[in-house]
Amino acid sequence: MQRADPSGLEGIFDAVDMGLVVLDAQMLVLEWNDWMETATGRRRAELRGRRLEEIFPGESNARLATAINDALSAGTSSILTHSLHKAVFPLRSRNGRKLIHNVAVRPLPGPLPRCLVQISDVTVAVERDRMLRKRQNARYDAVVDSAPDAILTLDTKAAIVLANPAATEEFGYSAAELSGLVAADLFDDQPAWNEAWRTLLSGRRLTRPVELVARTQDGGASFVEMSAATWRSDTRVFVTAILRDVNERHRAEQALRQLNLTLEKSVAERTADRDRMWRLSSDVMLVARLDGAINASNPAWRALVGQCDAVAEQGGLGDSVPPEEQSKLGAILAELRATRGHSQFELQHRADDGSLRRISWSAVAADDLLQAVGRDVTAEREAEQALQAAEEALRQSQKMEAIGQLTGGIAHDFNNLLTGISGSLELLETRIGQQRYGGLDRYIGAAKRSASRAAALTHRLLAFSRRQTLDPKPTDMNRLIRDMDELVRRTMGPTIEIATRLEPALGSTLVDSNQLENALLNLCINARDAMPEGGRLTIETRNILLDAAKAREQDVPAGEYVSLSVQDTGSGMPEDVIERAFDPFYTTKPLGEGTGLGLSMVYGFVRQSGGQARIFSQIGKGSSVQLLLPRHFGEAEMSDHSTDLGEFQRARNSETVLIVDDEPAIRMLIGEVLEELGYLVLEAQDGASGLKHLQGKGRVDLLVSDVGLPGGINGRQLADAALALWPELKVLFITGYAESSVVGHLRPGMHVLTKPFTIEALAARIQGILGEH
Amino acid sequence: MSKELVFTLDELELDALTELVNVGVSRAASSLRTMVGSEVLLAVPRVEMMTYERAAKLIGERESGELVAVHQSFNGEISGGAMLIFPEINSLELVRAITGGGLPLEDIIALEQEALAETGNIILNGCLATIANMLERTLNISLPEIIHGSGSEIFARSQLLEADTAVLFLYINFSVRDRDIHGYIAMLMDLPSLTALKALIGRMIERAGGESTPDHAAR
Repeated sequence: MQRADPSGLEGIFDAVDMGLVVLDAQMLVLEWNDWMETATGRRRAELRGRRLEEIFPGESNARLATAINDALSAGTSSILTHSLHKAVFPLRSRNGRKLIHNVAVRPLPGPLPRCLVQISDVTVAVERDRMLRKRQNARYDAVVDSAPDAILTLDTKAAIVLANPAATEEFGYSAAELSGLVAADLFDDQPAWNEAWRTLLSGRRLTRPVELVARTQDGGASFVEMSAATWRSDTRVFVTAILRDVNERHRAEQALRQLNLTLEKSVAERTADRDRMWRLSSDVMLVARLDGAINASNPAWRALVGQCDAVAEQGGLGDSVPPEEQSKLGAILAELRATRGHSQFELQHRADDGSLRRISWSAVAADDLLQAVGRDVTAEREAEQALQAAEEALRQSQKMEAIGQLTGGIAHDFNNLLTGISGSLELLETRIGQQRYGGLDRYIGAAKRSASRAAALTHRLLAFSRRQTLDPKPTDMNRLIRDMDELVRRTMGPTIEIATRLEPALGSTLVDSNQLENALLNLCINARDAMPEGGRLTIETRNILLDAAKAREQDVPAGEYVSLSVQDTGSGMPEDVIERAFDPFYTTKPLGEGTGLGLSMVYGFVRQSGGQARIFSQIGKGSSVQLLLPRHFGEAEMSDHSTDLGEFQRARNSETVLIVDDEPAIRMLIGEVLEELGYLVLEAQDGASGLKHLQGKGRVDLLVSDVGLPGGINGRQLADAALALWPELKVLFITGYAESSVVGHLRPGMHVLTKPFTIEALAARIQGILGEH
Repeated sequence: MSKELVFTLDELELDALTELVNVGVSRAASSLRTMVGSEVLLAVPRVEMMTYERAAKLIGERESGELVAVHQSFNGEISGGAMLIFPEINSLELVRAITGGGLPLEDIIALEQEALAETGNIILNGCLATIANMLERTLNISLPEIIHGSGSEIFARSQLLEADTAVLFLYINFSVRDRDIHGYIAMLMDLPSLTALKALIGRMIERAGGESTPDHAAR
């Protein structure tokens, strides 16, 4: 210092720990303290009187010049801080480190304008701050700069003060461009942003992330989810917002939404389809409780029962069901409740117009509900009934036609036979009247033949109706054929060659041999008629074994059979004729020439005997009829019919026979035959009078009774009563047809003889019965 | 209004003062431009005179948040305090604009107080030095000091409030690096200082020449 300071404070100038420079009015250096000497390395002696620009060339600072000038001229004080000036002066510490410093320029009081330049070293404080910041920033950067989410720090005016690298990527701006931008301008969704911003500024937290659409620099949209919080630095408030890119999620959501939309649409369409079906179906549809109460019904139901919508919805399934079907409905519902299954049933419903409609229901019980669909089958059922009636009528008319044919055929045959009988009787009467007794037996023989043919005819009728009483016996079919050989040859005539191929080891069969003869003859006659120009007839017998499958095919039990087939070389039959050949009254012969019963009788006899009849034929190649009869494992026997009445033994002990028949001619005929044979004969015309004879004192050895009797007691009842009285009594039923239900099971000692019968047959039978004991 | 101004400047005097202040802030803008290396525009569109209560109320009405002020006192023929006031939320933006925007937020916050003080110092010195120069008087002007608070708090802390303190209220607009920041300059003076200012302005008007005088006289 140039002058002494009386206060003794002059030492302070050099003692202070800051740089001090005093400039005069011309901005020339007056003083320069020790601190400055150290920091600049320049001695004050060499600097006095020099300008600062000279001392620090190249370090000129306009701001410093102005500050000095203003201080000198106007008395202003100025600061030049390190924050805005890197280094006002080139200052270094003792160990050569650059000094960070602030500079204050102020006027010095006094008569002459002077100016003080103060330099303060803030190196330590600044570096400490920098280090702290750096440490802080390192942590901060590690989190923020590497974060995948965009992070923006905003001031309370929403201007961006900081943006991380992810933010520059998200928005497409550089960090410098983002800085200062108002955040609201970055978002499309202004209301959402504004609301979030208001919430944040009012000090409240965002309870959940806010979804926003960010507008990028190139105009693109990006979906982000923002979470944000406010924080304070000193008195200042900032908002840091984290924006998560949710484009991926958004796209997925969008896709899902689209999918849902599509799904909803298709469900809606399907529902609409079903709804249409429900509304437009002509079938009735119901959803009902399991007790029959209707929950929902379709228009078809309401149209049927004629109820308004509201009533139909409240009603029950049974409301329209007539009383007689209520119990059926109850049973069906009970079953559905029990089984929870499916049920198909028909119910009648009283329709709106009062008519009864038959509805075919299909119902399913599920989830405690009954889903039922019904179809009106009234018309169908009516049509079915009409068809049935028509068929019945057709059958009836066919029957009438058949009866017409039958009566025609029978009348023709019977008239012929009756003519033969009555003609013979007339001739007999004439001859006897003329007392010409020679040659009478010719007429008697003719009458008998006619009568026996008539008997054969009725037999055939009964065989056709399958009501003939068969008398099956083990039969040797080959023997039967050989016995008939002569008859067949005569019937066939000279133009037809006859061949027989008989199985030598043929099994026997249990049949009525008379009927079998009839059948064979019938087949031969048919064969002859098929060969008017002549041909060959082959009769063949075979043993046949039917396994289960073949037996089923033939509709007979499996097992061993004996086959008889008759084959011709005639015209053959078309398919439709074969099909109907066994039908009763079916004939290809002109009306009156055949009854159409031939094959039908054969068929009836074979079936009744447990066998089967089949026809094989082709047009122009002849026909073959095969009869299958069950094989019988037993000895065959052949009855001998050629018995003469005169050969019968006379009754030995005047045995008594009771004849009960309502036909006097039959009683007389039988009575005469038996008296002729030496029997004692009693006659009764009905069961009651027959019983009186039995209750009388005289012993009865044989009861010969018709089965069908007038007066309330039939033949069987009479026989049972008689056996109760006379256990040793023999019974012979004589019947026109097999009243099996009336005759029932034959007890021991009971026998059956079928009308008509020859006297010889009757005599032989009676003798046979009485000779049993 | 609780207090009436006992002393006012007329329109001509206010116009002259507005012009004076604009010269001052232009100098400051030039200083800042050199320092920042970028265009800096400063403009004072309007000067009003009012009580400090009114000034505090006016700022309170216009600005919702906290305020920050750079305060410098001056002594001499006129005495009082000068304040550059702006909303606190603008201060960081202002500092960022001045420092160039490349610094991290934490650094800016750390530098904020000093940078703000220097910036305010430049602007206020511009005004005060210009006024002193034009008035051809030297004022002893203090170093800057930062004050935070509401409008009334800032005025109260300036410690210059006397019963007759009036406020010259100036609106100031900054434009730095495409950022527009508005603020206020308040000059608080007691009655003797205002009287002296009025006299000084009158003399300045006289010196400025006769053309304006007849206009003024004609009113």
